[in-house]
Amino acid sequence: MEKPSDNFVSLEQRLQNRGTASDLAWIRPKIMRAVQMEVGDETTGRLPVSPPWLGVIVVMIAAVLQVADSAEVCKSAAAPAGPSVAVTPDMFEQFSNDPVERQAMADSLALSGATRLTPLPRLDSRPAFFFATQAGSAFQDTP
Amino acid sequence: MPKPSTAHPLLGALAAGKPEAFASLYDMLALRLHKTAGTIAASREDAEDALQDLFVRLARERDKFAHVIDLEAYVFASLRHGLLAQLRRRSMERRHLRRIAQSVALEIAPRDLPDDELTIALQELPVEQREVIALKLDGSLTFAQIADVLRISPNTAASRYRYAMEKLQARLEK
Repeated sequence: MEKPSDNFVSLEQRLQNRGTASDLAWIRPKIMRAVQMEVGDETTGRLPVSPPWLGVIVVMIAAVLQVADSAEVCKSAAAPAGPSVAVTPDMFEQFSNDPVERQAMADSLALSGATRLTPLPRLDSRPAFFFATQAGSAFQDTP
Repeated sequence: MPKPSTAHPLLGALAAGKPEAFASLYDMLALRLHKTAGTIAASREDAEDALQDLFVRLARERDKFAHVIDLEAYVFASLRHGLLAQLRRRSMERRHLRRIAQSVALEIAPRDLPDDELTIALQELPVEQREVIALKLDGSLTFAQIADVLRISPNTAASRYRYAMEKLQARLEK
Protein backbone atom coordinates (compact mmCIF):
# COMPACT_ATOMS: atom_id res chain seq x y z
CA MET A 1 0.00 0.00 0.00
CA GLU A 2 2.96 2.30 0.51
CA LYS A 3 3.61 2.27 -3.23
CA PRO A 4 0.35 2.63 -5.15
CA SER A 5 2.24 2.64 -8.40
CA ASP A 6 5.82 2.47 -9.54
CA ASN A 7 4.89 4.59 -12.54
CA PHE A 8 5.25 7.70 -10.42
CA VAL A 9 8.87 7.22 -9.39
CA SER A 10 10.32 9.90 -11.62
CA LEU A 11 7.50 12.34 -10.91
CA GLU A 12 7.91 11.72 -7.17
CA GLN A 13 11.59 12.51 -7.50
CA ARG A 14 10.84 15.70 -9.38
CA LEU A 15 8.37 16.76 -6.72
CA GLN A 16 10.77 15.97 -3.89
CA ASN A 17 13.61 17.85 -5.54
CA ARG A 18 11.43 20.86 -6.19
CA GLY A 19 12.74 24.18 -4.96
CA THR A 20 15.83 24.80 -2.92
CA ALA A 21 16.54 23.57 0.56
CA SER A 22 15.00 25.95 3.03
CA ASP A 23 17.21 27.61 5.54
CA LEU A 24 15.16 27.53 8.69
CA ALA A 25 17.99 28.46 11.01
CA TRP A 26 16.95 32.11 11.20
CA ILE A 27 13.43 31.30 12.31
CA ARG A 28 14.35 28.71 14.94
CA PRO A 29 15.32 31.12 17.76
CA LYS A 30 12.15 33.14 17.22
CA ILE A 31 9.96 30.09 17.39
CA MET A 32 11.78 28.73 20.42
CA ARG A 33 11.41 32.08 22.17
CA ALA A 34 7.68 32.05 21.47
CA VAL A 35 7.45 28.48 22.79
CA GLN A 36 9.41 29.39 25.90
CA MET A 37 7.06 32.27 26.61
CA GLU A 38 4.09 29.99 26.07
CA VAL A 39 5.24 27.22 28.38
CA GLY A 40 6.30 29.82 30.92
CA ASP A 41 2.71 31.13 30.92
CA GLU A 42 3.82 34.48 29.65
CA THR A 43 2.62 36.19 26.53
CA THR A 44 2.92 34.32 23.25
CA GLY A 45 5.46 36.64 21.77
CA ARG A 46 2.76 37.81 19.42
CA LEU A 47 2.80 41.52 18.86
CA PRO A 48 -0.05 43.22 20.65
CA VAL A 49 -2.93 44.34 18.49
CA SER A 50 -2.57 48.07 18.17
CA PRO A 51 -5.47 50.48 17.96
CA PRO A 52 -6.95 50.96 14.46
CA TRP A 53 -5.76 54.52 14.08
CA LEU A 54 -2.17 53.39 14.50
CA GLY A 55 -2.33 51.54 11.18
CA VAL A 56 -3.44 54.68 9.39
CA ILE A 57 -0.68 56.74 10.99
CA VAL A 58 1.90 54.15 10.06
CA VAL A 59 0.68 54.18 6.47
CA MET A 60 1.16 57.93 6.39
CA ILE A 61 4.64 57.69 7.92
CA ALA A 62 5.46 55.00 5.38
CA ALA A 63 4.34 57.29 2.61
CA VAL A 64 6.55 60.11 3.89
CA LEU A 65 9.49 57.74 4.17
CA GLN A 66 8.76 56.48 0.70
CA VAL A 67 8.79 59.95 -0.80
CA ALA A 68 12.09 60.68 0.91
CA ASP A 69 13.50 57.42 -0.29
CA SER A 70 12.03 57.30 -3.76
CA ALA A 71 14.99 58.89 -5.50
CA GLU A 72 17.08 55.94 -4.40
CA VAL A 73 14.75 53.18 -5.37
CA CYS A 74 12.99 54.28 -8.50
CA LYS A 75 15.65 52.99 -10.85
CA SER A 76 13.89 49.72 -11.64
CA ALA A 77 12.60 49.67 -15.20
CA ALA A 78 9.67 47.55 -14.08
CA ALA A 79 8.67 49.94 -11.32
CA PRO A 80 5.03 50.98 -11.22
CA ALA A 81 4.18 54.62 -11.64
CA GLY A 82 3.65 55.35 -7.94
CA PRO A 83 4.82 54.04 -4.59
CA SER A 84 3.81 50.72 -3.18
CA VAL A 85 2.52 50.50 0.36
CA ALA A 86 2.99 47.30 2.27
CA VAL A 87 0.16 46.23 4.54
CA THR A 88 0.65 44.05 7.59
CA PRO A 89 -1.94 41.37 8.29
CA ASP A 90 -2.61 42.89 11.72
CA MET A 91 -3.96 45.92 9.92
CA PHE A 92 -6.60 43.79 8.26
CA GLU A 93 -7.89 42.73 11.63
CA GLN A 94 -8.17 46.35 12.63
CA PHE A 95 -10.02 47.76 9.68
CA SER A 96 -11.49 44.87 7.74
CA ASN A 97 -14.77 44.84 9.63
CA ASP A 98 -15.08 48.54 10.25
CA PRO A 99 -16.19 50.72 7.31
CA VAL A 100 -15.06 53.91 9.08
CA GLU A 101 -11.56 52.59 9.64
CA ARG A 102 -11.50 51.26 6.09
CA GLN A 103 -12.41 54.65 4.73
CA ALA A 104 -9.71 56.28 6.88
CA MET A 105 -7.21 53.81 5.51
CA ALA A 106 -8.32 54.49 1.94
CA ASP A 107 -8.11 58.25 2.51
CA SER A 108 -4.60 58.07 3.92
CA LEU A 109 -3.51 55.86 1.03
CA ALA A 110 -4.96 58.32 -1.44
CA LEU A 111 -3.03 61.13 0.28
CA SER A 112 0.16 59.12 0.11
CA GLY A 113 -0.08 58.87 -3.67
CA ALA A 114 0.39 55.12 -3.48
CA THR A 115 -0.58 53.06 -6.49
CA ARG A 116 0.09 49.61 -5.16
CA LEU A 117 -0.64 47.60 -2.02
CA THR A 118 1.54 44.71 -0.98
CA PRO A 119 0.28 42.33 1.70
CA LEU A 120 3.02 41.19 4.06
CA PRO A 121 3.37 37.81 5.73
CA ARG A 122 2.39 37.46 9.35
CA LEU A 123 5.34 36.15 11.24
CA ASP A 124 4.61 37.18 14.78
CA SER A 125 8.06 38.15 15.90
CA ARG A 126 8.88 40.10 12.79
CA PRO A 127 8.79 43.84 13.29
CA ALA A 128 5.31 45.25 12.83
CA PHE A 129 6.36 48.29 10.91
CA PHE A 130 6.27 48.42 7.16
CA PHE A 131 7.59 50.72 4.59
CA ALA A 132 7.29 51.33 0.91
CA THR A 133 9.53 51.53 -2.07
CA GLN A 134 8.96 52.61 -5.59
CA ALA A 135 9.76 49.26 -7.14
CA GLY A 136 7.78 47.19 -4.68
CA SER A 137 7.66 46.72 -0.99
CA ALA A 138 10.81 45.78 0.82
CA PHE A 139 10.63 44.02 4.13
CA GLN A 140 13.74 43.35 6.13
CA ASP A 141 13.94 40.58 8.67
CA THR A 142 15.74 41.44 11.80
CA PRO A 143 18.97 39.40 12.12
CA MET B 1 -0.90 1.92 14.13
CA PRO B 2 1.74 2.16 16.85
CA LYS B 3 0.68 1.03 20.30
CA PRO B 4 0.96 3.34 23.31
CA SER B 5 3.91 1.29 24.54
CA THR B 6 5.89 2.43 21.47
CA ALA B 7 4.98 6.08 21.99
CA HIS B 8 7.64 8.60 21.10
CA PRO B 9 10.08 9.31 23.96
CA LEU B 10 9.58 13.07 23.55
CA LEU B 11 5.89 12.93 24.35
CA GLY B 12 6.27 13.04 28.14
CA ALA B 13 8.64 16.01 28.06
CA LEU B 14 6.42 17.84 25.56
CA ALA B 15 3.38 17.30 27.76
CA ALA B 16 5.40 18.63 30.69
CA GLY B 17 6.21 21.76 28.69
CA LYS B 18 9.97 21.28 28.61
CA PRO B 19 11.42 23.82 26.15
CA GLU B 20 14.26 21.48 25.14
CA ALA B 21 11.67 18.90 24.06
CA PHE B 22 10.10 21.47 21.75
CA ALA B 23 13.56 22.30 20.41
CA SER B 24 14.13 18.61 19.67
CA LEU B 25 10.75 18.38 18.01
CA TYR B 26 11.63 21.39 15.88
CA ASP B 27 14.98 19.90 14.85
CA MET B 28 13.31 16.62 14.03
CA LEU B 29 10.38 17.89 11.97
CA ALA B 30 10.77 21.55 11.01
CA LEU B 31 12.14 21.01 7.54
CA ARG B 32 9.47 18.45 6.61
CA LEU B 33 6.73 20.59 8.14
CA HIS B 34 7.94 23.67 6.32
CA LYS B 35 8.12 21.90 2.96
CA THR B 36 4.66 20.43 3.48
CA ALA B 37 3.17 23.79 4.43
CA GLY B 38 4.90 25.43 1.47
CA THR B 39 3.34 22.98 -0.96
CA ILE B 40 -0.13 23.29 0.51
CA ALA B 41 -0.04 27.08 0.87
CA ALA B 42 2.09 27.75 -2.23
CA SER B 43 4.00 30.39 -0.32
CA ARG B 44 7.25 30.29 1.60
CA GLU B 45 6.14 33.12 3.88
CA ASP B 46 2.84 31.45 4.68
CA ALA B 47 4.79 28.28 5.44
CA GLU B 48 6.97 30.17 7.92
CA ASP B 49 3.92 31.72 9.55
CA ALA B 50 2.31 28.30 9.76
CA LEU B 51 5.41 26.81 11.36
CA GLN B 52 5.53 29.47 14.04
CA ASP B 53 1.80 29.27 14.71
CA LEU B 54 2.08 25.50 14.93
CA PHE B 55 4.76 25.51 17.62
CA VAL B 56 3.01 28.19 19.66
CA ARG B 57 -0.21 26.18 19.46
CA LEU B 58 1.54 22.92 20.36
CA ALA B 59 3.10 24.61 23.40
CA ARG B 60 -0.19 26.20 24.41
CA GLU B 61 -2.08 22.91 24.11
CA ARG B 62 0.76 20.78 25.48
CA ASP B 63 -1.59 18.79 27.72
CA LYS B 64 -2.82 17.01 24.61
CA PHE B 65 0.57 15.35 24.13
CA ALA B 66 -0.33 13.06 27.03
CA HIS B 67 -2.93 11.39 24.81
CA VAL B 68 -0.97 11.29 21.57
CA ILE B 69 -0.02 7.93 20.09
CA ASP B 70 1.68 8.90 16.85
CA LEU B 71 3.65 12.12 17.42
CA GLU B 72 4.33 12.82 13.75
CA ALA B 73 0.72 12.31 12.70
CA TYR B 74 -0.44 14.56 15.54
CA VAL B 75 1.98 17.36 14.65
CA PHE B 76 1.17 17.21 10.94
CA ALA B 77 -2.56 17.17 11.70
CA SER B 78 -2.10 20.27 13.82
CA LEU B 79 -0.09 21.92 11.05
CA ARG B 80 -2.83 21.19 8.54
CA HIS B 81 -5.53 22.48 10.85
CA GLY B 82 -3.70 25.78 11.36
CA LEU B 83 -2.73 26.07 7.73
CA LEU B 84 -6.28 25.67 6.43
CA ALA B 85 -7.45 28.35 8.87
CA GLN B 86 -4.59 30.56 7.72
CA LEU B 87 -5.51 30.06 4.05
CA ARG B 88 -9.10 31.03 4.78
CA ARG B 89 -7.89 34.11 6.64
CA ARG B 90 -5.50 35.00 3.83
CA SER B 91 -8.30 34.74 1.29
CA MET B 92 -10.45 37.06 3.42
CA GLU B 93 -7.58 39.53 3.78
CA ARG B 94 -7.10 39.72 0.04
CA ARG B 95 -10.80 40.26 -0.43
CA HIS B 96 -10.70 43.23 1.95
CA LEU B 97 -7.53 44.46 0.30
CA ARG B 98 -9.23 44.37 -3.10
CA ARG B 99 -12.09 46.45 -1.70
CA ILE B 100 -9.70 49.10 -0.41
CA ALA B 101 -7.62 48.99 -3.57
CA GLN B 102 -10.72 49.52 -5.71
CA SER B 103 -11.90 52.45 -3.61
CA VAL B 104 -8.68 54.38 -4.21
CA ALA B 105 -7.76 52.90 -7.60
CA LEU B 106 -4.76 50.93 -6.39
CA GLU B 107 -3.44 47.70 -7.77
CA ILE B 108 -2.53 44.79 -5.51
CA ALA B 109 0.91 43.28 -5.87
CA PRO B 110 0.72 39.73 -7.18
CA ARG B 111 1.78 36.89 -4.89
CA ASP B 112 5.35 35.90 -5.33
CA LEU B 113 4.99 32.32 -6.55
CA PRO B 114 7.49 30.18 -8.42
CA ASP B 115 6.32 29.84 -11.99
CA ASP B 116 7.86 26.52 -12.97
CA GLU B 117 5.59 24.05 -14.69
CA LEU B 118 5.50 21.62 -11.78
CA THR B 119 4.51 24.25 -9.20
CA ILE B 120 1.78 25.56 -11.46
CA ALA B 121 0.48 22.04 -12.03
CA LEU B 122 0.49 21.39 -8.27
CA GLN B 123 -1.44 24.57 -7.60
CA GLU B 124 -4.09 23.52 -10.07
CA LEU B 125 -4.88 20.45 -8.00
CA PRO B 126 -7.74 20.66 -5.50
CA VAL B 127 -6.37 21.27 -2.01
CA GLU B 128 -7.43 17.81 -0.76
CA GLN B 129 -5.26 16.21 -3.43
CA ARG B 130 -2.40 18.63 -3.03
CA GLU B 131 -2.24 18.03 0.70
CA VAL B 132 -1.94 14.26 0.23
CA ILE B 133 1.01 14.81 -2.09
CA ALA B 134 2.55 17.29 0.37
CA LEU B 135 2.11 14.96 3.35
CA LYS B 136 3.51 11.99 1.42
CA LEU B 137 6.44 13.54 -0.42
CA ASP B 138 7.37 16.60 1.65
CA GLY B 139 6.27 15.26 5.01
CA SER B 140 7.48 11.69 4.35
CA LEU B 141 4.43 10.28 6.13
CA THR B 142 3.11 6.79 5.52
CA PHE B 143 -0.39 6.37 4.13
CA ALA B 144 -1.48 5.18 7.58
CA GLN B 145 -0.22 8.45 9.07
CA ILE B 146 -1.79 10.50 6.27
CA ALA B 147 -5.05 8.70 6.98
CA ASP B 148 -4.72 9.76 10.64
CA VAL B 149 -3.98 13.35 9.70
CA LEU B 150 -6.87 13.64 7.25
CA ARG B 151 -9.25 11.34 9.15
CA ILE B 152 -9.79 9.13 6.17
CA SER B 153 -8.96 5.47 5.59
CA PRO B 154 -5.45 4.49 4.46
CA ASN B 155 -6.94 3.12 1.24
CA THR B 156 -8.64 6.44 0.55
CA ALA B 157 -5.37 8.26 1.23
CA ALA B 158 -3.52 5.97 -1.18
CA SER B 159 -6.12 6.27 -3.91
CA ARG B 160 -6.32 10.05 -3.48
CA TYR B 161 -2.55 10.17 -3.87
CA ARG B 162 -2.62 7.97 -6.96
CA TYR B 163 -5.38 10.05 -8.52
CA ALA B 164 -3.49 13.29 -7.83
CA MET B 165 -0.29 11.88 -9.30
CA GLU B 166 -2.14 10.72 -12.41
CA LYS B 167 -3.60 14.19 -12.83
CA LEU B 168 -0.21 15.79 -12.39
CA GLN B 169 1.39 13.42 -14.85
CA ALA B 170 -1.31 14.04 -17.44
CA ARG B 171 -1.01 17.79 -16.94
CA LEU B 172 2.76 17.72 -17.37
CA GLU B 173 2.57 15.57 -20.51
CA LYS B 174 0.31 18.07 -22.28
